[in-house]
Amino acid sequence: MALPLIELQGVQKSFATPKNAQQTLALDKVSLSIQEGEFVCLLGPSGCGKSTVLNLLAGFETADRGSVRFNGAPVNGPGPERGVVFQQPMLFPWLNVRDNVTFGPRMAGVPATEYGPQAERYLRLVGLQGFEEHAPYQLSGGMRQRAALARAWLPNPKALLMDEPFGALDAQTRLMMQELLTSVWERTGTTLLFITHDVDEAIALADRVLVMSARPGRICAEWRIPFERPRAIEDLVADPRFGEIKSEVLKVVRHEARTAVALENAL
Amino acid sequence: MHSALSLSEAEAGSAERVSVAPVKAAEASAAQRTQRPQRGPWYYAALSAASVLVVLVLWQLSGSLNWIDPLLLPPPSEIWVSTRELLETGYRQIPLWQHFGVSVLRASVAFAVAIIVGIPIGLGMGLSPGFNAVLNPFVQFLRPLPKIALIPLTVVWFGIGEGSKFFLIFISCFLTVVVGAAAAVGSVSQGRIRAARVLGANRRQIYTHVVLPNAAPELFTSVRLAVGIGWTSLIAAEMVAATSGLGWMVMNAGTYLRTDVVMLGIVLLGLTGYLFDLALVLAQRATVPWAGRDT
Amino acid sequence: MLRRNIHRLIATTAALLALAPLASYSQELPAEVRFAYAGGPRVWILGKIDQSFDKSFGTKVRWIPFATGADVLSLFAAKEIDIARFGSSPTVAGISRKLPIEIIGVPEVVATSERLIGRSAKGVNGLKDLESKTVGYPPNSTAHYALEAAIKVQKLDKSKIKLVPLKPAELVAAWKRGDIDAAYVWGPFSQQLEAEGGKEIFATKQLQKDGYLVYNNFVVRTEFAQKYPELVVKFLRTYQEKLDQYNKDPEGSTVAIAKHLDIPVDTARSVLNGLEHASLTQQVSPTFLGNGSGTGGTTPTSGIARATKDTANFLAEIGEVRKADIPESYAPAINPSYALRALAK
Repeated sequence: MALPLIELQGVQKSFATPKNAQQTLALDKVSLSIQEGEFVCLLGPSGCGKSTVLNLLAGFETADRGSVRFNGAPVNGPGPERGVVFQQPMLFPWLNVRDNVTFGPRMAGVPATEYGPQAERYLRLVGLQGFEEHAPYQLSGGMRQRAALARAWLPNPKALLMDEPFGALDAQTRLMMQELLTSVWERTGTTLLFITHDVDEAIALADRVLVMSARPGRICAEWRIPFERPRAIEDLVADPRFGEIKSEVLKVVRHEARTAVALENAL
Repeated sequence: MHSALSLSEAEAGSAERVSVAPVKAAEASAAQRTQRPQRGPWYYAALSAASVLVVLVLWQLSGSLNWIDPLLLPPPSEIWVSTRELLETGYRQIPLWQHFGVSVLRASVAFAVAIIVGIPIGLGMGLSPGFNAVLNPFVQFLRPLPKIALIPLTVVWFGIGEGSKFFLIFISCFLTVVVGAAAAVGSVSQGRIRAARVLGANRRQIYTHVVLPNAAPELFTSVRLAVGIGWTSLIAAEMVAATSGLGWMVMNAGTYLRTDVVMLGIVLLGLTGYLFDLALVLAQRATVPWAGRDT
Repeated sequence: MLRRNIHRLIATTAALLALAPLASYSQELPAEVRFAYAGGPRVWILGKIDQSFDKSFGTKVRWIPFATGADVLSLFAAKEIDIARFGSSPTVAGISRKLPIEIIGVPEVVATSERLIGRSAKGVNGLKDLESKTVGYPPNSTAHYALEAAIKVQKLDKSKIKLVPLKPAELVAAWKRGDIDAAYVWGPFSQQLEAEGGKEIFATKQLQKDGYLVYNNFVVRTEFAQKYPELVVKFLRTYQEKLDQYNKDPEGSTVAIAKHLDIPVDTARSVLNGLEHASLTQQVSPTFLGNGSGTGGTTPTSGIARATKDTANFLAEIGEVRKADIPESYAPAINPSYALRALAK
């Protein structure tokens, strides 16, 4: 098997809570690996440390123990090869859509002749052609998230790290964003690590689904999703395997969720 | 039964939610009894105008019917007569518009300098903890100080010319701009900084392309606040040996118990302050249209 | 429990408020008589030193200092004082605005107590040197009035003179900094200017020959006078006693006054000498108040009635008083009856 693009080995991470001087162990020997081109979803109860895994990979935090490697090298800071899409679009309100989307290449000093056509392509892919001159405040939540997607994708990252990117959207918009994401992924072959708490979403989108335990977080279960691509959500839910997998996944996820609640009450 | 959703429908952020379940008749009438009727904005504007009118009428009556000594509170009719006189012959042989112009000019110059000097200093204080530590004690001490307390000192330092007047208006405006600018720098969200770092921006680029533009709406708010505070210092400034200006007019008329001129002056001062603010609001809307909106 | 406490609070406050008017009705004398005076050396300071006013009234006197006549007008309007001694021009300004006050005495004519001091180093040696110079004055005061009158009499071009309004203490500070070249003010400030390179170039007395009468008057709040007419009479009588005391021993009195005010004796002497003191008898003569009909009010031809009208007209000329506010005559506001009664007993 080829060297994984993303690799965490025995990662441990603690945070100091403001209330007590003690450190809380957020991640307890987390190991996972993701091959290039894979679409992996990470599920887990709130507070289990899913976002911490993403932050470590993105380079916003450093692990206390263990190794975080990307493309064979240790991660020590953010960079455009590991694009990030947050739950809130995080667009720059003082720039219009085009300037937002082209922020990465512009900061890198890439000439406009080079990034221009690519930017147009991505804008078209996410369905924002005609809205290039708009300001973010003039767009709806879904459109802003689409712009954020284009912005993260334009620098041609090897991997996209997505932290519950569709969590703030309504159900119908979410479905459409999932379709959009999948179609762009199929065209570009970027490795995707997608964090969510929505089991349906995870199963419908991913090649592999990982479940994290309650705090301190570990990877406690893994499924390979058998459905062929392209997938349509309407057909998926009719497939009997979908229900089986969902039932299994739900069992684990709910068990961890109950553990997490018990932990909260104990504190 | 759901209708097939198209892209535009789902993306219409303000799409109405159609309730499907029928509402029982009893529930409906109960809801209507407690519900407020819809009122347009003109209703409230009319309410405000009516309220002002009522106060004006009561005020005029208080003078005409002598509920209050007209010396203490001249009724609007008297103020109107004095206004016409002042428009014709000016106050102390200086035309009314000249008093207005002198005050506006004094204030505008002081505001402009305070903003041009204050914003870079405030931004610097926000960006550099060292710079902030050096200047902060003085800023925090001087800002709440009533500027009237500074008058004896300013007269000693700057004399009785335009210098002391400029200084008093400048210092009150400047300190607020500095504090506001420093705060504006700190208000940038961590998420946006992280997004910029991921996209490959270096430290300098993060300052110029994220932190500073992010600060712009708050800078405008600070400037509006500072200009308001600076304008209220105009009277204090014109207490120092002025010979013209709206503030001086109010002070001088007061010494002769010309309460009618005093009230006119106060009205003009208030209106002008409002106009300054309005100008800034319009500038803000034009320059930073995203301010205050969800983005 | 909160409810009960609030009820108690309301009851207590109401009881206190109900008692308050009782407190004022139970006496025939006011708790105190408030007298406004300029801080400088004057004859009645003798009365402040030995408390003869308090003794004569039978109640306390509160001495309230003011910086310029303009302040007195505000104090009267706010009913913060009962009697005041201040200048003729601010008095006229106040009466024109229908301030409910009456002129009951004219203790001093301003002669050399208020002067124009010029900076000899800058060549300000006479009135004609004022053009293109900066001159300071206390707004709405007799000094201000005299300055404007002097400019008019000398036919100077007012637009060429920079007139700067400053309170007396501020005038001295501005002089020291070199911001002004001349100042029209009274003692002890004028002496302070003379000590710093100033020379007298004009005194108010010089305006008398041109028909300008600049004086200080006793003014009383009409409401107070109507309620306590006896006190007003006693006031004037006690003042006369102090004037007699001063005339009997001017030097000793000057020293006592200087000591009480903590100013140099020379300063006190020059100010006191610079005022032409009028006895009560002189005050009720037609030159001043006139003796009217004896029940209040005076004839429009009395000296003060004419002077007030002239002052008012002049103030209207310089734009401080509204022409519409000037009455036919100021006689109704001039009341010699108290002075007459003080003389009678």
